[in-house]
Amino acid sequence: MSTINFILNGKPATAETGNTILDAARAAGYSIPTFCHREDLKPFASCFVCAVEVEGRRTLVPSCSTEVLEGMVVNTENERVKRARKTCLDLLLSDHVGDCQGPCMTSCPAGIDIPGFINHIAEGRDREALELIKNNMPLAGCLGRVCTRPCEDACRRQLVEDPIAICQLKRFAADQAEENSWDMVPEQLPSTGKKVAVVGAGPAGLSAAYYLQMFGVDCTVFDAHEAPGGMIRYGIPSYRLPRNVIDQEVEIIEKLGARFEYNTVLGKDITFPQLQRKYDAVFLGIGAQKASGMRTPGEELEGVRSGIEFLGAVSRNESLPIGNRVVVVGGGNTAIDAARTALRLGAERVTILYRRAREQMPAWNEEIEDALKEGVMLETLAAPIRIEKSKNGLALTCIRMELGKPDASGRRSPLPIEGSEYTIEVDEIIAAIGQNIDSSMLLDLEVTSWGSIVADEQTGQTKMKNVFAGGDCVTGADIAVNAVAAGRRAAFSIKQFLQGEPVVGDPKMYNHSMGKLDEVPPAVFEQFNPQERTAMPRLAPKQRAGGFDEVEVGFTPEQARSEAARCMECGCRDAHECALRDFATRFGASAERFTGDKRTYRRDDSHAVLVYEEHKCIQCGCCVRACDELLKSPCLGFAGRGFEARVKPALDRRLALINDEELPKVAEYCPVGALTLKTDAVATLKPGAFLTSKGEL
Amino acid sequence: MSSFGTITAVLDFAIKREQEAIDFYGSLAGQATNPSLKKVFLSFAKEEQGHKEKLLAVKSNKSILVDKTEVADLKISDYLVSVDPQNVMSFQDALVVAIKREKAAMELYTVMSKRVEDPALRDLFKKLAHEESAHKTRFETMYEEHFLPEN
Repeated sequence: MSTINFILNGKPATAETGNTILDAARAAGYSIPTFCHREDLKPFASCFVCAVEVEGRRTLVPSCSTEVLEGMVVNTENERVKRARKTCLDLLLSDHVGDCQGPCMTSCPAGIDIPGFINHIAEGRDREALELIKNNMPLAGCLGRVCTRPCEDACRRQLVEDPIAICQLKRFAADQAEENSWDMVPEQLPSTGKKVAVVGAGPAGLSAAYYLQMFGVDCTVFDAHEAPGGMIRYGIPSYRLPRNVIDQEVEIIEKLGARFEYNTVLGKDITFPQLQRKYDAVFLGIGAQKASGMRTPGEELEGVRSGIEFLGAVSRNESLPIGNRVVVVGGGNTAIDAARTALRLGAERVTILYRRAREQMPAWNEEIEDALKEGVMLETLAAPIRIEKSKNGLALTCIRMELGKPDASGRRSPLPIEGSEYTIEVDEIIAAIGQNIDSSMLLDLEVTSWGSIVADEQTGQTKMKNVFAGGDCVTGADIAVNAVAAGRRAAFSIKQFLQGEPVVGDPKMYNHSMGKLDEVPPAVFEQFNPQERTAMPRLAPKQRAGGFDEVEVGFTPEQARSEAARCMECGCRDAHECALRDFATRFGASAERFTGDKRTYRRDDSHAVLVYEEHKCIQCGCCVRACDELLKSPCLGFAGRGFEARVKPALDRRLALINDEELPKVAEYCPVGALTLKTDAVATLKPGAFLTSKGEL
Repeated sequence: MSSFGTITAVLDFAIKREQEAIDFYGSLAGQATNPSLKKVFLSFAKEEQGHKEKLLAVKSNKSILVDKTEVADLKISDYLVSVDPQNVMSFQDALVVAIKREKAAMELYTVMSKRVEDPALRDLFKKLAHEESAHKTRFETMYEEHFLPEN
């Protein structure tokens, strides 16, 4: 065997006679993607994703089956090669049918592995479920109670009957930690010696601190309040989120080594420039806690306060004189929380006044229903215009509204009806019409006109490179799960910044999807029989009045298992190993570039061990060749020609009828998720926060 | 009304008012210590600059004013407490000032349209009132989005 000299990517290289370009390039440390090439199988050269450029040849050549020759000039990484690989991947994706991750997971802002943790619960592995959740969501118990559940809106099970109770299952997993006194402090990387100031102990700041501590970064968390939680403590009543749940989850962050300095106001007790000087980086999660004023005449009178002020005072156990007649202005969750809290404090008549129609209320429908059941009254299409002192309290003058014509965005603004003013007598008015951001203490940091911090959406980095921000102070008042997600993304970015790496946040993998609810092939649902969603036990409305006991009491393990068993496990068993997904991410491929017929959804799970999903096959032929060359058995073969060619079990039978004990071995040869083992549960194989031995998350 | 004998005189008056608005917001931006407020005032000054340019284009016959497009009057300004422009502390305050100014301008042109005899001038005043009403609605919509999201 003699040595061949050739040029590889502009540099002299050597290879043995008979080596393919693929072997030689890999030996020289270059990564070349391929689907159909396997060391133990004969070259097949069908996928063409390993294409390289050989100077002097008109077309690109498959590196897996082209021998290196003396003096050859080979390029494996130039733009032409990358473009060709991308085109090849675009074509493969264009008719691919399947999901990398289920729609629940892709619609969760925090990216929790939902099918994965639900599978753990279904099979009784509650601790594993919680560990998996905590890879993305350190506040599982809190968010398990207060999340607005975008995941459930996307859940495909609703096409059978109802979405899975994902959020309540998440809470169940978190409840088990307390129930069983589990130590849920995750492993940490060795200390980096770096220090970060986290401003704000709300969902964003807590999340950032949790992951930064795991990355070996020392955090000091500053907060203006006397206790942690931010809006989830001071904006959400304890009957929805008991305070010990917040405390327990924060305790884990303390055990990870974060220091908390409460009653510390940015701009007063500490300044922004001081933090920048003293710490290697700063994370701002200061929230949007300044209540918007109504700007109604009389707003300054005693007996009028904001929803945030009211809920905050109740949270701090301040004694509040609450009158008998309370009006809450606004239609968001804060308004509902304030109204239900006022009832619990003993108000006799609580009315929510909302300028628009009921359907336009931003509050969560379930919460509105609960408020009504508890006795809160709802007055829609009415707005306050004047408040005056009256003999026995306050005289609140309101005006009736009607919805105007839809504007360009289709939104119908409420317009006052002239002459429809009316006045009611009340004792207390709570204005919960929105919150905004006070960023005046941030000096030279770039903010928008309404005070929100300008930060990169993917990384949370601001124009000041050592300052990161996330949560409500960037987005405006928003749902808690978005803040937790932003804190986590920023932790990844800060770690990268501190290590001098490019700041990219937590990069997203390519995700293939079967589409929106109405685009999913009906065959997907055929195997599922309707089974009612498990309702979480709740206190009866009568039991709730006058107290702050938690309304939702939690699933029993039996209820949780039965609910988890409803999960259809959307998503791919191979999502973390799939070569198609990996290459699509690396080469920026897209399923949208080429349009045309998609493959037919055809799932064969008749086999005891294997599942074959023909709609995911990319025709690389690895399985067919493995059967032929290694098993010496024609179990699988190609049927049809050209675009119609499909890998089929021999004689087009069901897999269960293939009588070959070794057949399951072939699953390992499938580079995508077309042929998988039933033991590979959907999406639970990802290394995570509790598996940090590789030094990565 | 003698000073408004001609179309040009009316347009000059309206252009002067827009310039005053540009200067007004420019000076508030100069005084603002809060960077986000400075930004707000500069953006308002820019809006007014756009209005002025539109009127200049009308004056040089490069453009015409129309009052056929429908403008929804959200009437938010009718029920808001006024803010002293020298005491603006927030974006919300700034928007209240801007909405009230546009409202005053709209009312001024409406009154004028009723007082003049000349149909051409009456028509021009009506169109100017319509313009100001559109500006008011733009600010009111901003106010709704940012400060009445849950109301």
